[in-house]
Amino acid sequence: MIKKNIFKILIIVFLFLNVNNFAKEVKVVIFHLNDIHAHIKNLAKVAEIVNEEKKTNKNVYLFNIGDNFSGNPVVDQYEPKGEPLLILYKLMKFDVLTLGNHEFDYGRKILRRFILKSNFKTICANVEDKNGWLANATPYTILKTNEGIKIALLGIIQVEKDTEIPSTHPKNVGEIIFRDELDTINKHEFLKKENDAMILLSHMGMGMDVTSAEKFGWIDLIIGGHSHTIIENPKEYNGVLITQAGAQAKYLGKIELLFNNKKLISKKGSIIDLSKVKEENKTIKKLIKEFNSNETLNKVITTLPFKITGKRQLGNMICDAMVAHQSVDMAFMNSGGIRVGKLDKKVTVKDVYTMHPFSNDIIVFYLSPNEIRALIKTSFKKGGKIDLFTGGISYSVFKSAGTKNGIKKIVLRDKKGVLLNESRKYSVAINNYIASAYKFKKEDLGKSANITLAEVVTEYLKKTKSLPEYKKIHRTKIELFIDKNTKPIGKTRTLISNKGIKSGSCSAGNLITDAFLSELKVDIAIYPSRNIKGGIKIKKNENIYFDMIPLIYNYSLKNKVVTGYMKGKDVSEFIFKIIKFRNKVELQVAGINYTIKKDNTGRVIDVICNIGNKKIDDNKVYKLAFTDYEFEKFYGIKDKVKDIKKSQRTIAKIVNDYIVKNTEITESIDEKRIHLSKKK
Amino acid sequence: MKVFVDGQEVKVFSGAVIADILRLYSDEEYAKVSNGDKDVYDEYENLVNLDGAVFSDAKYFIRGKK
Repeated sequence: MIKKNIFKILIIVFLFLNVNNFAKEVKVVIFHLNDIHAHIKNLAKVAEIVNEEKKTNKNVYLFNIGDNFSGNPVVDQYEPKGEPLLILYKLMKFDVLTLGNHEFDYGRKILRRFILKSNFKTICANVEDKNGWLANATPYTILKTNEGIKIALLGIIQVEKDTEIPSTHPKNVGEIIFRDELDTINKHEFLKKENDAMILLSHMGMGMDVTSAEKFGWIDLIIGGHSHTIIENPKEYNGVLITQAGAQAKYLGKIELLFNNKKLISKKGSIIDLSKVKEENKTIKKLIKEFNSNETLNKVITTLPFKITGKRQLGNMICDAMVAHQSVDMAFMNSGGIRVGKLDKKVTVKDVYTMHPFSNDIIVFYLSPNEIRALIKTSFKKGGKIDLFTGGISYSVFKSAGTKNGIKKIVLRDKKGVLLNESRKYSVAINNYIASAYKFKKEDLGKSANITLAEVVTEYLKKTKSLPEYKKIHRTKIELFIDKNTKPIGKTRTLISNKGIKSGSCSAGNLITDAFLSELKVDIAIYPSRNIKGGIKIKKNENIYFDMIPLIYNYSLKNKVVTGYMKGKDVSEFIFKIIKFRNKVELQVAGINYTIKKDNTGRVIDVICNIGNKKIDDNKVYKLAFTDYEFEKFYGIKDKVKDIKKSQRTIAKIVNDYIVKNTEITESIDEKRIHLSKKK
Repeated sequence: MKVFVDGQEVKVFSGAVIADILRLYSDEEYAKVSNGDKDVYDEYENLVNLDGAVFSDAKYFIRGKK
């Protein structure tokens, strides 16, 4: 009997102890995202993962570590801005959001509305907001689990040392005051004392997170953002676990905290690569699809009085937008950053983002005229032509043979046409690609305006009632620098330029091949179209100077001409091979003319070569002239050409001699030597 | 501000991202990273995205894919 009773007591004690133990050990799971930057694509996956976890654990939370806006026009240009995120986040049931610098990008009013309409708690401690722009946001919040565990969450936003505001445009934050991050954390140590765990939700970046951990070892965990750091295996620094989950919702962070008797006994973190997750929440997925196909992007934002055609006009308009938005003296835009050829009269948001699809920010520098010249010179190195379009400034590049980059001088004028003051500095807006890819000497390191070019252009087109007729505006010019001490070598009765080169022969091409034909006594002369420069031209009835030749024809002064003999059949095959390979008019000619036949898709299918009106004689042997560089490196016809010789004279000298002999270049160089025909 | 890429000082505008400092450091290395042939790590051995914010005096390292 006694034995039986002891046994019963032992069982009861055993059960009691175990039940008590089970009750004491609590697992808390925190999922976290940071720097989503309006990338909504993976949010259905996030929702599914969180919901699944909630089925087996009642202590599951979802945190947002800031920078939700700016990065996707679907969200950024929605009306009201950011609304898709608000709708999605409410359905995803975020618990807490800490502010990031980009939360201010849409301005205070929109941020206030976002906070007020949300169903999650917004926190930020190092901010003083007397006018209530941040609505019901608080410095911190306390999470309480069903078991009574209290977890303090403190929100901190990065603050730039020089401006004392987060990285956004100053007008976005207005009178809101931001406090030092570390001082603010220091003042909140009481949170650790009053609660069972202390988590810092930090939008300060990895470097500052490590500094915070080293200074404040009483923090249990830092969940970070801002630096877009992908922390695959979170580590402890001074006993503080630091984690961060990349950016753009490519990864979802997961933290597991284990409490025993309300004491934090274990903390571990990991990230989930969402590209490998297949399951999606159907409701969220459907909504994302709807947002992506939303008509917002196709809405006409302005109707222009005229089309803006070509990169020059578009570039100038973009620069005007930058000047207006940033209130700077001038702006530059690179040709490569403009990805369309025109803007039609009716402009949509999508058109603007297609024109400039890169998320390039605007950077403002204070530059002297000489530093501006250095920027323009750098741009010329990229292709020997105008690459930077402008607003608030016009410039002329004077080119001359025998000078570095062919540039003799650059003349800068302000928007009124007055020469820039060489002793002052000007505020200059450029995009961050130019700021980092165009390496030029400057004192000022520059500062980001924290707004993308596409946003600025969208805003400019929406607000500006009358735009100048860009077609008539020429802000950049290449001019030939002519040494007045040298004598002209001849005169021209017609324009010498590359006009018409895309679809056939051009006067500059005919002139150089005529020079080869005449000076080297050949039957056929060939010159590559790609080596005739745009921008430089010699006007009708102007004198021709020797210095002009290497500026029109893209050659060094050393290049020469190769001559040799080929059968007519091989000549035809060679011209067809080159034209077909490039699928465009690639060869300028003299002594021969040719017709390119294309199919309906625009593909070259045949080239017919004629001498005068007759088809080239396949068996006859002709003497030809080629530029040496292309003949040796690209044409691949050495085995078909007999008696190959290189000229003594350079290309420039041959052209010079031809012009000197003729004294006047006539309209014969306007002859059409290349024809296009479509074949069905 | 200044940062360090593979030990070399790079001066860059405030508000720059990783892509900016890579372009300033080396066009070639930038091309390799943007093509996915190489990655950028911070001084704590963490991978960083090309659009990640950079910090004054921070150290970054370019390495081949793991």
